Amino acid sequence: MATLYTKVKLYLEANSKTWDAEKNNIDLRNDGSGSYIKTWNVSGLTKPNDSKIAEYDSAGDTAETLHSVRKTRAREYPELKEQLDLLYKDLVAGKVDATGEWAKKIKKVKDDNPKS
Amino acid sequence: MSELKVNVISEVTGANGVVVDSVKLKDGGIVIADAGNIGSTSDVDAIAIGSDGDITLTQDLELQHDGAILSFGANDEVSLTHVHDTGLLLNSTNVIQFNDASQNIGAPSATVLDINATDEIELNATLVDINANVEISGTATTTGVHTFTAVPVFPNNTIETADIQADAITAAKIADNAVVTAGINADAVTGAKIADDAINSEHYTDGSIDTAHIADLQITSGKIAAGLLGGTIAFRAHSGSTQQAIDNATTTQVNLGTESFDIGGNFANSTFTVPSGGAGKYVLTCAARADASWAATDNLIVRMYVGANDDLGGGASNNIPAGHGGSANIQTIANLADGDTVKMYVYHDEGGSEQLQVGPANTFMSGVRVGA
Repeated sequence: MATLYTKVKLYLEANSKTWDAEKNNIDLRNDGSGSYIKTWNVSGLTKPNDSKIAEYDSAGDTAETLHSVRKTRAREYPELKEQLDLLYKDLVAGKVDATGEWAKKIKKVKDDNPKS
Repeated sequence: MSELKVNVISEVTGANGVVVDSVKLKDGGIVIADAGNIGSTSDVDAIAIGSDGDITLTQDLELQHDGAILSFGANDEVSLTHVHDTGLLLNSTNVIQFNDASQNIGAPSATVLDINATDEIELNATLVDINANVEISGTATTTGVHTFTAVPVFPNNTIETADIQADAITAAKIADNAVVTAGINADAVTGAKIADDAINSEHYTDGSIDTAHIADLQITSGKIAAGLLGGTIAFRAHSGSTQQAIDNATTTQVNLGTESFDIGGNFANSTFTVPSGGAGKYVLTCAARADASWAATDNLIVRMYVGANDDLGGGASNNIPAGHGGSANIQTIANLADGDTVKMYVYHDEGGSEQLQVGPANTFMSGVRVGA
């Protein structure tokens, strides 16, 4: 099940707000018995109750899966300097297209970690 | 023979003089010649009467009737009277003098007897038994030992410490609460007058012992209640073998399930609680280390909540590069009260629900009391 953070983030976005803009107005807390909203000071938006939070279970799961895929891809992508080196070599070889080494490495990471 | 009337019996020349069986004088008296005697057949000079009238007895004088009186003086002002089966009574306030007029025994009243001497009255015996109260207005000097069968009573402040031998008064000789401070002169009780172990907490009032009266190194740790000194309360606990997931952007209490040590037994359920009497200054340390699987993270924040209201005791943030398992830690000195709690929380904005590294060197909290 999605975390409280993810569902609150979606709740904010559904109401034309963003987590980054409001994170200092919200205090999510877990004292060992599960996460809860300890402080809610978002202007113009009421603190969501449990049922409202539950409405974002499914979307939250999807978002977290996507985050996990992105996180895995980010870890498996070659370092930036290595990618630049691959692109330079492909450019010199005239393979700045899907047949180049850079394109193939990136594609493999994406294929190994599909978003859905 | 009938009565013979003779005017004068004159001395005759003869060896035996005049011998008469008995003589009855009709008138006048008997006049004995100077240096003459009156006697019996066996003691012809039992009574001698001098020319000055002095009478000399060569044998006993017996006054054989009860109440016989010997009177002295021209007007009989001094007398000795026989008291039947008892003795002799010196009359009135007259005295019997010895050697000098100032040395005498007499009775100034019917109930008072005086023995007077100028320098000394000496009683020589193995025992002088006085069956009465005794008043001594002068100074008493005793060579031997005074043995009392009742408790002697001394006026306040009459016994000085100089008069008491060292260790002579033990606790067994003093009843509980028998000595009050009003009966002791300032500084009169010295250490030499107090036996070892004679004073316990019942015998001094709270606050009466200051540090000036405690010798160096005399107070051992066993005499100090738990928690009053630094180091008597200390703990260190860390995350157990199971990694704890920390949700993104959620301040989460860290599960510290394994104790390295817990001196005083005040750490439980990932929470340290200040015991009763343990209030004071504490050095507290918290550290958390991200798992190597974390993506690049702007903030890994370790927070310490202390006190009854979970006030923020301190926090530390660190930027975590992807795949490196960086850490953040905080150390602070907190002034804690009895019953206050200390808990460790972690916050991160890695984006997902991420885990902390376990083990005593990665994620832990420790604390030690350093003083009041």
